[in-house]
Parts: sequence; structure tokens; C-alpha cells
Amino acid sequence: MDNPNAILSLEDRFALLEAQFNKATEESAAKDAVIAAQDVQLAAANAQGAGALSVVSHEGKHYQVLAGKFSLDDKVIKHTDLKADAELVAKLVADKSPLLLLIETPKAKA
Amino acid sequence: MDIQEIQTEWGIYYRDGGQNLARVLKKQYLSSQTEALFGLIPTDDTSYQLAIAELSRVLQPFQLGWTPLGDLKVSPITLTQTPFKVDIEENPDKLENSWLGFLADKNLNRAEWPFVRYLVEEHLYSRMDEDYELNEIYFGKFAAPTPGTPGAAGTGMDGIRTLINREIASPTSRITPIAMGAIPTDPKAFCEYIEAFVDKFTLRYRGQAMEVCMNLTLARRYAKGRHEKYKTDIADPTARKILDGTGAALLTSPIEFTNHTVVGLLSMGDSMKIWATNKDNRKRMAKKTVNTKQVRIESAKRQVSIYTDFYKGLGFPIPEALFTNEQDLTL
Repeated sequence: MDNPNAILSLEDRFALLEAQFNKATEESAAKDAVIAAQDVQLAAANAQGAGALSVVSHEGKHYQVLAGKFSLDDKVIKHTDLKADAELVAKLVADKSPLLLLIETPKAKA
Repeated sequence: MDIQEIQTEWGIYYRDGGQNLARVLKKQYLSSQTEALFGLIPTDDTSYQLAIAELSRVLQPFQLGWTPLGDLKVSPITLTQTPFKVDIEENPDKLENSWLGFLADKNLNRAEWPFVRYLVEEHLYSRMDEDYELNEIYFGKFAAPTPGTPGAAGTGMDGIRTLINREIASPTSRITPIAMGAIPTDPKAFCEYIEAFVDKFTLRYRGQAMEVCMNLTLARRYAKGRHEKYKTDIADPTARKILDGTGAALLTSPIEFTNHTVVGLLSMGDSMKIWATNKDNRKRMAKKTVNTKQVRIESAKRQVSIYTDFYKGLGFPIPEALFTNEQDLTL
């Protein structure tokens, strides 16, 4: 099938279309994954609203960080650090830390 | 005034049965004790400006070249005070047909009736102190009142809790709350919690004497835990103080191996916040302070109006010198 002008048999044309379909499906799935990740970020950003402090997510829920910085185990942690530290967020959520305030997930726009 | 129950019980008439003020018992008011922890800045400025200066590193290794090093950074600090008022309106004629008739008088000027003096001297100032302690000095969060309607309790000023939490909620916060985890209910564990808390104060301020303030329940828990842990303070009167019935004395307990003292504050209600700073960093402002102990009494026709107004405000000039746990952070 090197020559695009060659006359293809019915089987070859089917195989070609199937390959194109599979590729399109894979690309679509990859885009969906990117969009889903962006949705999570967007929801967190929406939840943060005009607030100056970060909103972090854990298991689909959003939490407002209530302190610009805090000290934990003699280490100072800024609110922005929490966005990149899912493990610490998980620990704070598990400990029911007052540093995080659960906020309602904003409803998706129709 | 509401004397409905008196009239229902004893009739709508006055009969001199020898009753007097000695037979009018008074509910105990709670005293204002938190304010005494703050050093006074008497000023008429409603916005009081201070500055904090700090010189950065100047010492450097020697070299022949000229290499300037060191900047003096001066940052602004603003403390604010807000106005409070008392407006009371009474119609003392109500008293005449009741058991309380002895508080009425034949003087046409109702402002001079014994009732007014009794109300002001026995109740008004005490109630003002209690309101300030329970509603404003710690839990206060200023909200402009609706014109024509008395403002809600706790909206007259920004109290300690609001000042601390507002600073913490700033992305460039200068207060770093110490994440200590859940507050232990066991007294001895709580004593160790407090000891760990004060150990985490920054070295620059750790050596300065501080009052570690908390609600009364926690202060009692600390006192019991400290006793349980050390059992050495039986003969130490400073460790055995308890809050007396009028709330006039502070519940205090020293923290072992430090300059710090646990102080229980009535004003903190059930807040789980624990905060500490040195005396020089606790400031209060006051304008027209004399008016907190004097009122203007006017009578118009048969009504008596009693009023006064003054300013109050608090502040922590150096936020970095204030230490707190991570509890009760919502604004």
C-alpha cells in the first residue's frame, strides 16, 4: 500500500480504515485524559475563586488551605508547596487538620 | 426594663414593706481580664502607625575591594481602634406601681431617681466589661452596623482571633502557625503538647517571657497535667491559682524549663487556638477611656437616656513574635 493511487482490495481498504479508526480512538482517549486533568485543575481554580490562598485536591474533593504558611515538624511549608505535595495533603486530610477546609465542589456549567 | 414578672407575682402596686436595694440581688457579671494583658497606647489616632526596622547581614570576610553589604529594611505596622457606644433608654415611671417602687422618686427630673444611679453603678459598667470580654476582645470581627439597628454582638472591633487569623490567611503571612495535631484530652499528654509547642518557638524570641494563652478548659487541663507530670508544684502558689468566682483572677501555670506561663482566658470561650507572644508585642489602644467609667444621663419629658462612647483596639506590632497552633483558623 505504498502507492496511494494503487487500487486496493476490499480487505486492504478495510484494514486501512480500521488502523485509522484505532489511531483516532487512541488520540481521542489521550485528549480525554488531558481534558480530565485540566478539569480537575479548573475545578480547583474555580473553588479557589478570588481567594489568595491555594486550593488543593484529594480524592476528588477540594480543600482551601487556611494559612499562607505553617510549620510542620520544624519545616516551614508555604501554601503553594501543598499543591505539589499530594502525600502531605493526604496526610493532612487523614489527620483532619484544621489547616485545610473542605469546600464544596463547584457545579459544572451547563 | 422588664418588671413583668415582679408585677405578676406581687401585684401592680407599691406598698412600703421595708424592701430596699439590699433585697435586690444581682447576677454576677464576669470581669474583663484579657485586656489587662495588653500594654496601653493612649492615643486619639484611630489608625496608629508604627514601623519595624531590621538591618540585614553586615559582617563579611575582609578583602581590599569596597564591597558594601547590609540594608536597613523598615516596614509599616498599623494598629486600628474602632468606636463603641452604649445607648440606654428607660421609662422609670414603670417602677411606681410595683414592688420596686422604692427606686422611684417624687423629683420631676427622672434622671435623678435612685433607679438611674442604681442601673449605672451596679450594672452598666460591669455589663460593659462582660460584653467586651465575652464578645469583642477575642471573638470580635468588625462589621459596620445597619443604620438604625443596634449592631450584633462581636462586631464592634477586630478581636485577637480575627487579627491572628487574618494575618495567617495572608499569602505573605508573617505568623507561622505550628502544626501540632489534635489537642490531647489527657491532661499529662496535653502538658507535653504545650511543652512541645513552646519548644518550637523561633530562637529569636524563645527566651523571652511569654504568656501562652488558651481557653479556661485547656488551662485547667494543663495545670492538672503539669501536676501529674512533675508533682513538684504542690508548695508553689503560682501553680495552684484557680479562677475565682468573679473571674477577676487569671488562671496561670508556669511551663517547666521555660520563661513562659500558661494563662487561661475567659474571653477565648471554647476556641482551641493557643497563642503566645511577649508583653511588648501585645498592645491596646484607647481613646476617650474616661468614658468607659462615666456616662451622660439626660431626661426628656419622662424618659431617661443614658449614653457613652469610646474607642478600643488591639494589635500585635511584630507578627513574627506571635506563636500559635493550627487550630480555629477560619475568619
